[in-house]
Amino acid sequence: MDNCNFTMDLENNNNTQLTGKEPEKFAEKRKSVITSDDKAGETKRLKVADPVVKATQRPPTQSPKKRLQLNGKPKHNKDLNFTYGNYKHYYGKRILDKDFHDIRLDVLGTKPELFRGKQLLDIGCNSGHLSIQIARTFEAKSLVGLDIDRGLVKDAQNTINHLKRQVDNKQGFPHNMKFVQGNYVLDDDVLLEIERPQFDIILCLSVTKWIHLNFCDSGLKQAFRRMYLQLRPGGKLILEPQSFDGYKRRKKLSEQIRENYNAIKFRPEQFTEYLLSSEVGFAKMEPMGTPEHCEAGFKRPIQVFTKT
Amino acid sequence: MVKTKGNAKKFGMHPRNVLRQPPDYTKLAIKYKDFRKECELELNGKVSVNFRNENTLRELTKMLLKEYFDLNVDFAPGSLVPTLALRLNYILWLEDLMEPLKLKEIKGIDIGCGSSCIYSLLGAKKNGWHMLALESKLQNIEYARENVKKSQLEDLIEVYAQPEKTSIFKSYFEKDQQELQYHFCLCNPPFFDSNLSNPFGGNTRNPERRPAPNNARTGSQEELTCVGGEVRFVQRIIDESLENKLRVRIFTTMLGVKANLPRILDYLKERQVANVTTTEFHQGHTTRWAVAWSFHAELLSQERSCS
Repeated sequence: MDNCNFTMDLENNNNTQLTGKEPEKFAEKRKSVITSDDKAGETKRLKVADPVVKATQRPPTQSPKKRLQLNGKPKHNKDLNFTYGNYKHYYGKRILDKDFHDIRLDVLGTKPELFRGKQLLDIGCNSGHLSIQIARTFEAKSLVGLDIDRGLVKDAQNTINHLKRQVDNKQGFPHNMKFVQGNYVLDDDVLLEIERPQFDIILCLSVTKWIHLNFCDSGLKQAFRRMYLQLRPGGKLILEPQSFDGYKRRKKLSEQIRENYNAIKFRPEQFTEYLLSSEVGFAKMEPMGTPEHCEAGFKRPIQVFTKT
Repeated sequence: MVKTKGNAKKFGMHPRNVLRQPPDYTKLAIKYKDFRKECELELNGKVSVNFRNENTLRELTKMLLKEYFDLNVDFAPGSLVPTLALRLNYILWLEDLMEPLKLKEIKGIDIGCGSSCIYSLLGAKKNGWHMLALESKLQNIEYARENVKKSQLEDLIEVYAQPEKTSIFKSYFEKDQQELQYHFCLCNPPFFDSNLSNPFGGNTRNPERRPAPNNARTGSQEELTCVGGEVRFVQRIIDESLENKLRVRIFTTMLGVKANLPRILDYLKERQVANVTTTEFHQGHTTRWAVAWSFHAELLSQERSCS
C-alpha cells in the first residue's frame, strides 16, 4: 500500500475554496452610458476646410436603431456638410418615443387656438415632419413649409403626396399643405419693400442659428423684418432660437461659416429687444414654454411675438 | 404650331434679340425702384411680374429700355405701351434688310411713332440711324419730343406733326424741298377696324392652340383702330409708295392679323409690285407679320415665307 500526502475534500467536492482575498482577474463589465450632449452636434476635426457647399451630400443610410440613437454615439459623423442644418435624418434625433411625437408639440399644444383655422408658414421645415403634425393636430387652415434644401423639400412633398393617396377627402388636410424650396433670406434688403402680409402664424423653430451662421447678422435681421412684414395684423411669430453656445461647434463646417461666426455681434440675448424695436415692430413677446422631457441640447424656450 | 425647343429657331425671337434670354427680374427689381413696386415677391425670394397689369407693363418697358439701351422714356397716360421684344424684332429685321446695302448713313421714316417714339429711339441709339418720326396725335407728339430730348437724340430724330391722318408721306414730302432720300420706312399700323361692331373681336378658329397673349392690352382708340383697320392703312402706304417710288428704298410695315397678309400681298401684286418679301416676328404667345417692298433694282432677300 502507497502512502499519499494529499487529502480529498469530499464535502466540497474537491473544489478549491475561495478565501475572498484573491486578486481580480476579470475587468468590471462596462456600463453603457447615454450622455445628454446634443448628438446632433459632434463635428470631426477637419483637416482640410470644406468648400462652401450648396447641395447637401447625402450620408449612407443607417439602420433605424442607429438613427434613433438607441446605441449611444454614432460611429461616423454624418453632419460634416449640413451647413444649413439641413440634416437628412433630423427628426430621428428629435424623436424620443415610439409614437414619433416631437416634444415641442406639447408646448405648442398649450395654445391650440393660435393655429386652428389659421394660415401658417414654417420656416426651415426640413422634411416636413413637424409641420405636418402641427397642421394636422391643430387643424390649421393651411400650411406652407419652406426649406433651403431641395432634397428635403422633395421628401416633405412626397410625404404629403403619400398622405393624399391615403385619404378620401379632397379638401382640408393634407391638401392644404405645400412645401417650397428657397432661401428665406432675400438677395437684397430692398426687396422687403414689396413684401406683403399673407400669414397668420409664422413658425421659426431652431432655425435662427443656421440663418445666423450662413447669412450673418444682416441676414438674420432681414429675416426677422421679413417675418414681421409677412404677418397680418394680429399675426404671431413663434420663435425657438438656439443659444449662442451652440454656435461654436458649428464654425468648423466651412471657411465661410468660421468667418461669419467670428463676425457675429448680434447675440441671441438681443433678439427679443430687436424684434420689439421699431426696426421690426412686434408689439409684445410672451414666453410659451420650454420642452421638458428631452435632451438638454433641445431644451430651447419657445416665444410668441405679436404684431398689432 | 406649338412652340417646342426644336422650333425655337424658327419660332423664337430674332437671334440677335437681347431679350431672347428672359431677363433676371429679381436682379432688375433690386436695381430699379419704380419697376420693383410693380413686382410681386415670392416666398422663395424670386420676383414675379404680372404682365396682365397695364401699369406693370409700363414700368417694365421703361425699365428694359433703360437697362438695355440707356433710354429714358415716358408714356402718355392711356397710350399704347409697346412691348420691347416685338419692337426689337422689327428693328433687327430692318438691320438685316439694310446690311447688304452697305450704307454709311442710314435714314428711316417711323410712321406713327406714338408717345414713346420707341422705334426711332431704338434705331438712333442702337444703330445711329437718322429718323423722321411722323405722328398726328398732339399728346403723343409732345411726349415723343420730350423722350427724344431726354435721351439726347435730337440731332438724329425729328418728330414731325402730321397735319391730318389721311395721308402718310404726302405732307412731309411736299414741304421737304431737298427731296431727301430715305432708306426705309417702318410702321405699326392700327390693327383694328373702327367700322366693325366689335373691332377687337378676334376670329381665331382654335383658341386652345392659340391662347390669349400674356399681356394686358394698352392704347387709345386712335392708336388701335382706324377706318378699315390695318388693311386700309397699309393700302394707303402702298398707294403713296407708288407715287414716291424712289424716295424710300425699302417700304415696310407690320401686320397684326395673319389673314391680312395674303390680302396685302395680293394688293401689291395687282399693282405690279414684284420686289416683295415677308417675315414673322415671334415673342411669347404673339406672332406678328411684316411685309417689305421696293422699287429699286436690288432684289429683297426671300429669307422666309409664312406657312
